[in-house]
Amino acid sequence: MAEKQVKFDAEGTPALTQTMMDLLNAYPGLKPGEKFLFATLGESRGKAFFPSVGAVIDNEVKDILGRTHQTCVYGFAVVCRASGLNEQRRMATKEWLDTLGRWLNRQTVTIGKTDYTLTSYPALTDTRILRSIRPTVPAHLDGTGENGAEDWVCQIEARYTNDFKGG
Amino acid sequence: MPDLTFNTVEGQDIKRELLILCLNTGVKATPVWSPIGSRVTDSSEEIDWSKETNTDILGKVRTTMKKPVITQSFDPLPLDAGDPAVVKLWNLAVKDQDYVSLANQDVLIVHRYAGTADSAMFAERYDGTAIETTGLGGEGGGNISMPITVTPGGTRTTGTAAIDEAGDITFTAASAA
Repeated sequence: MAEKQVKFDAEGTPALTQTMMDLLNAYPGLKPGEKFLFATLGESRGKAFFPSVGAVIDNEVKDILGRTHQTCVYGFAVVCRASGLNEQRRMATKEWLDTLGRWLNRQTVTIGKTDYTLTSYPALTDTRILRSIRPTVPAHLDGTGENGAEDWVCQIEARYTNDFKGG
Repeated sequence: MPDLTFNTVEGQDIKRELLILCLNTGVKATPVWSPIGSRVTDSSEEIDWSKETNTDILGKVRTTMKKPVITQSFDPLPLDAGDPAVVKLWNLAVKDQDYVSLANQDVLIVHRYAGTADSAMFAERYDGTAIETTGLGGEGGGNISMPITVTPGGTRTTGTAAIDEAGDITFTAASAA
């Protein structure tokens, strides 16, 4: 069986990275002053966003008018690093990340006593439209550092379409 | 109209996008030709010549044909706010169920590969074309699609089409050319 060649949407990757960063930092579950950093975590705590390989073209078709229609997938991980967690705080950390995943999936989530729903996704580029964001792996403990800091991770994928003339 | 030549490179295949069916989304006197088929990956004209073949009592095979009836299906045809042809058809078929109008649409078939590229390409206008929407819906989590079948009819006027840089199409009937 022939192997499927992986193709990347190189032009779309920077737009996705910036949009995801902005969206994550708009999460209503963040405390004042808290923010996700790009692939950067403190020694003992922090919140960060780690993109995977970039935007992959999952499907590509050409229509009878000569336009190309791509469906692309941009995978990334959201990491919460925390120290000195007890059982209750571990559960709360996992729940916080899972709630973030549901919020990105445009489900209504309750934070504090307030319901929040992401009503629409932000714009990407002229030709690219964000269609869905969903967690692919629920939040879980990914590892513990020598200093006891724990990394809680949620894997998420964003799917978008890219329609353009030619190709 | 004399025989035309293809404007493509000899020995090369001709791209599918060089055959376009357009719906008049303006009015008859000042047509606006809107291509049909955005996101449609496969669609062809089906040409029925009503062919009948018989063998007579002397053993000769005789075949008769009639003027062709063309039908072309676009399935699926996704709904898109930016597609004027789809928006017009949705209004006629879904909102108004205006079957009289749907049976009398104005379409233009542009053969971009024949004639002079971009400025004088062979085109056929059918002013009494039937366009039938054959469904509306889609699977959960997917998108809405409205498949259609187009049967060009009415008066057939041949001529040439020009396409400018903005993609706007202008048709000139052969007699007026």
